[in-house]
Amino acid sequence: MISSKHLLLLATLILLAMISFLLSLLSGSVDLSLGQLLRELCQPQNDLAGQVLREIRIPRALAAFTTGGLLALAGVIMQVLLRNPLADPYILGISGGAAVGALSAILLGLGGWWMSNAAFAGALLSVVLVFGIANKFGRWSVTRLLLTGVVISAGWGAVINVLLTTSSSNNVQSMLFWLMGDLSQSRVGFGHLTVLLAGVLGGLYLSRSLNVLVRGELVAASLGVNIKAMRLLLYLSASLLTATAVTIAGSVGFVGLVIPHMLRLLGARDHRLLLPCSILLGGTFLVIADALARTIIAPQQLPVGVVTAIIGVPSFLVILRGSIKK
Amino acid sequence: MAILELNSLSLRIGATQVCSDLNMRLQENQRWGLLGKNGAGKTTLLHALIGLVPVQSGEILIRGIKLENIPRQELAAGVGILFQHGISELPATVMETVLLGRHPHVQSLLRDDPGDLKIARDALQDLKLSELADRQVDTLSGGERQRVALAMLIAQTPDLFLMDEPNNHLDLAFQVELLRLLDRKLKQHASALLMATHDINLAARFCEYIILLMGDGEFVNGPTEAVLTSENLSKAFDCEIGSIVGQGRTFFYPQ
Repeated sequence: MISSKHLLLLATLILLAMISFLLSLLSGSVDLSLGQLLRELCQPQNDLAGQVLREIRIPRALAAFTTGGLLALAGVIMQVLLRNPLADPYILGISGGAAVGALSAILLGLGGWWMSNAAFAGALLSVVLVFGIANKFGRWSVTRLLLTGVVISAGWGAVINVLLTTSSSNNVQSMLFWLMGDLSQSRVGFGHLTVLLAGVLGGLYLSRSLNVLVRGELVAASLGVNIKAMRLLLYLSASLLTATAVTIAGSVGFVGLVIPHMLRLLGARDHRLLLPCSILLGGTFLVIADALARTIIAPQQLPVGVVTAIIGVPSFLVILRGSIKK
Repeated sequence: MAILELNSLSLRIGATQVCSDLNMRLQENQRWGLLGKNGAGKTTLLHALIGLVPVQSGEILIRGIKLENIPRQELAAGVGILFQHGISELPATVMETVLLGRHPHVQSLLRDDPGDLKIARDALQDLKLSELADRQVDTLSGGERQRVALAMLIAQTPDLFLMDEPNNHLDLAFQVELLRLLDRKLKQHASALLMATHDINLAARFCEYIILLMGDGEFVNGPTEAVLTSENLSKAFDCEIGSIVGQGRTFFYPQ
């Protein structure tokens, strides 16, 4: 059910997203006033501020927003697929596979392009592995998929540790940044945005079925939902969204787990609303987190994944408390 | 034409033969009871009737059309089922849950049809849930949750109601209330009902026909008076069951 209260939530999130962009564009080592920023956005100048804006800040804010949106969307889908409140985009081992790919690229001294593609390949390998094994032995069940994912995840964890302990300290630094999620090298391209757009449009198209599926597979089947097709579709789309996100920014934690829950607690349980809201809030959240990551201990930068946890934990607890009071 | 027709249906779950060569025709306005001891396969039979469990052999026809040839959504618009185990515990309000019953009928992707909202509200009223409409389902009692599940089924407005222990968790007054409500709904929409239950006396009172599963693939089906005899019941439940006549009705009790 969608009420005017829900539309207000959507409008508020859109406004928040725009504010977060402005804040992000204003923060950094080169000072920029709001007036200057608006002038630059309307009429691009070829001065230092303009260059910093176009070449550094805008692409980075865009990368942050896209990553946050992808992760939050993937989180919603995983939670529906597994019907488990603890499900997040990484629970089935996608980030582990991606990490092994990315870390191997770092170990071999390969550049950014290689890192992204190795991460993507690692993620896909993990997706195929988990789904293949979960389907291999007899009847499909959510528990089987979840357990397979968790076990494969643990396996990747071991490989990651091997890579970390055997690498030079130079490499370990970049590896740790990747593992915690880092946007300093991130750029989004047409492909990333297409995945995000396809994800939300496809999700909206299926949103009514998602509403039913959340209540359990038997109920959904009895109400006319094609369970087998939905399982496969949800698994593959959540995987693609997550793989795309980790390709952009490494494994940024927390966004995919907490943003969907925050929105549900705020009353956005209907997927027609929850999906677009997740992208907006997930994106906004990461844009702000990244702005903070760049400025808190400037000129040094924190990995954005650290900041998402620092601001995510208390704000989630506040909302949780509010919802219990009600 | 029969709403539901089973032609020499055989069904097996694990090591249990639920039924072999079961033939039956369930017509509009008929009320059928499905009885049998624990593990005899009542739930499996109900699930098979909407294609959730594969059958061994035989065919299931819904209004003359083979089950496997009916598109999912069309089937869900015509046949509704009440599951024995309730709905999941992820947060949702009572109204949101009941409105899901309209899923098979929904036309618009993004818009909620006022007609659907009205049907859901009426269903809430039928089950005396109107005051709880905005409550979270996970804050409700067992009986209230059962009523939410029943309201969802009523909102689905099926031609054929399949119900797995509908009086689970309901107090005595509400059990009677529910039977009255179902009676009214069946008459309103020329629909039919098949309910699995452990309450022999309730089935005797409410159902005109009975399928009694013996637990080994054998069964007895037909008009209630013919099927519900001490002899049949004792055999089906592995327990001596006696009967007593009072107030013009026959009551059954374990001896």
